[in-house]
Amino acid sequence: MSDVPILELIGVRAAYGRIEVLRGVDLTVPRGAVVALLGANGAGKTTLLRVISGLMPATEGDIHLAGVHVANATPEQLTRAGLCMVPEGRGVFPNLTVEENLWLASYSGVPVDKILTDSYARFPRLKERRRQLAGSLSGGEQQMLSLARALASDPALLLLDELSMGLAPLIVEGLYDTVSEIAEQGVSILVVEQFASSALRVADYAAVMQGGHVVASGEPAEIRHRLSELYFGGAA
Amino acid sequence: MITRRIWIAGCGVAGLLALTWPGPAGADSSLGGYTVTSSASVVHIEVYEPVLPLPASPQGDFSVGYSQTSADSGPSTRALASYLWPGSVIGDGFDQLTGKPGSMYPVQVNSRYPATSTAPATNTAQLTDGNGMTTSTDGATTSANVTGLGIAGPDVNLLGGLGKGLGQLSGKPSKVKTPPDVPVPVSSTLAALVTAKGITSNSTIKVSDKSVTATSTAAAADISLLHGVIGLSGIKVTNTVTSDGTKATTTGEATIGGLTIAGVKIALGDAGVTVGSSAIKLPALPTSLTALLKTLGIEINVTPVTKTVTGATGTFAGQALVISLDTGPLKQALNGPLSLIINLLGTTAATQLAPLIQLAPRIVLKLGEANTTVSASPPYTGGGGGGGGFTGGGGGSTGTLGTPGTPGQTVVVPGTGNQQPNGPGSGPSGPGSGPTSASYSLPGLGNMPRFLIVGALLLAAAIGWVMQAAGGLLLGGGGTCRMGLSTGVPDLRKG
Repeated sequence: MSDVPILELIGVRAAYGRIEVLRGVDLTVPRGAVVALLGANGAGKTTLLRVISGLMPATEGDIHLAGVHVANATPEQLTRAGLCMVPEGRGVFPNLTVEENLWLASYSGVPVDKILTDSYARFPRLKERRRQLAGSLSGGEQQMLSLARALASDPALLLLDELSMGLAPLIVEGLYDTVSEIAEQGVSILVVEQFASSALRVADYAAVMQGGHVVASGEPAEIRHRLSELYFGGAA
Repeated sequence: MITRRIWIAGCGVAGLLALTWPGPAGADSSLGGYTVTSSASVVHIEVYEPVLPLPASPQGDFSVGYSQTSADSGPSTRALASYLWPGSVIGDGFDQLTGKPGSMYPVQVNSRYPATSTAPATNTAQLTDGNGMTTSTDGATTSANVTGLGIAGPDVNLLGGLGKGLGQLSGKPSKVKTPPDVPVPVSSTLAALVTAKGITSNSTIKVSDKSVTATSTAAAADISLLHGVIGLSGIKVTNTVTSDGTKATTTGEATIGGLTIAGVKIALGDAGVTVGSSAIKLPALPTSLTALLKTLGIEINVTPVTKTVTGATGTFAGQALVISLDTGPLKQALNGPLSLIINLLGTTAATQLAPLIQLAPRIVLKLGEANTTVSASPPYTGGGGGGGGFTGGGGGSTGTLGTPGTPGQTVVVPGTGNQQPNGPGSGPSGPGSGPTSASYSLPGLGNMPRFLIVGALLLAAAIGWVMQAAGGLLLGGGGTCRMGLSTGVPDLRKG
């Protein structure tokens, strides 16, 4: 496996109008690793994912993917290249059935049959609900559907935004077990999370954002140890 | 993904090839456009009787040995050949006059481009080999021929022979099983008007890459009028008109080999009378003959052929001889041939035309008539439009119905209605001039050179690519990496 990180951010800045949200973010995701990006509300975590996935332009800084400088790439180009984001709120189509939601993932060229087979193998619950409208699924099931749809594109770098939002702890634990399984298959994962303990459990590395900066990074154990300080006390 | 891209690329290449394909066979001409009409008739008979309820003047109009071709850029062509053509009102409007949609005047063959079931690319109906009607067109060459028309010997009436052979000339290609009696015995009434033998009528249009040429010829070995009162031999009218889109040329002449009136041979010289660009008066007729002709209501005129060149439009109109008759004394002679046509039309039309037999119309016989008009515009070069003028109608040429002006190129020419002979054919003039063009428009897509279309698409693609790249630069996305890495979007799955 190459030593070149699959994602490297250097001094990335981004703004909503005059409000600068990212103020020089430096972050590295090694290939095949799970990196947990933690931080309080408003720290800029979701914005950072949007910048990485091409949904929002960076005003400054460099984004490197697999050792290549990425400039002005569209989300479509990045998706084709193997980058996939599971957005906060899951982004399923509530008026379509589970199966129809999965069909939509065939845009990437993967045969529908393979998508369905793989998805149902990974999430047996979805097979039971395949005729059910996605909007009527539970939060955990919707998150499974969202994950299954993302994995159908055969991603190399998976960006997960607030996987645990609105879910029961037991469900969250199950989902993170799945994340761990995905990582074992060689998929690099950057997971943005407020529910730190679950993310740190499966992460290889962790970073904490505050005020548009990465204020700390390191081993999960180290970050877990400093978590309260980083969240509430600030850090230089 | 790659397969889809290959498909899309393949479709794109196929689209470009389709644009560069020269198209189906047809007139492969670089001319910007053209309009050509050409017709010839050995004997053209016009009947003027305003009392008749027919929406045309002359009210009766039929030709013996009639050929007609027309072609327009597109291409769209038509060839028509008929032994006995009753004029366009009856011939082309046969179904309306008879009230039977789809019915056709039977003694004709047609070819069209694009071909239809009733007008295939080649069409023929023959009494005997070489005696019949033939048409053909492939879009580039369009031809109509009537040849033979019975071999009428002395005292043999052509129309009598036609009457006998009509059943075999109903427009169906046929190997004639029972050739008509030749020579056909003459009925004295029909022979009083006209007999002829050795007749040829041909109209041809050829479209080439650089020019369009129309030729028409009408010829007869012998024609006898009014039961031999007037006899002509060696009659021929021929012309060729060519246009290359910028200029036209017109050549042609009418010749008469011999003329006798009431058995008196008129001196014509060894080469006969050649009716060229200037009028040649007939030699003075003996007083006794003049008196006799006047008694019969007969006037004879030799009219000059008309050759007109206006820019890229050339026109030829000519007859070898024009004879007008007051049919009072010849009423009985007229009834015969008109009855022949009336019988073909059925009950309704026969009722409408029946009064003709009861009347005494004036008749104009044009012996050896040929008319050709060729108009072309230069190849489209993508520049500004040419002149917007319209050529005026060829008003009232020798008593025929004037035709409206056709779109011209650079100048406006009023119709030249000065060829009306002294005869009774007071054919109305066509519109003096066509409408004035007020604006220019782009030619149709099909008329544009394909390399222009392909070039424009490639140019648009190149401009789009440049604009996309420029947009990226303007948005700051095109900056180079501070660490010297290459720029792009890598395939993350390749690790």
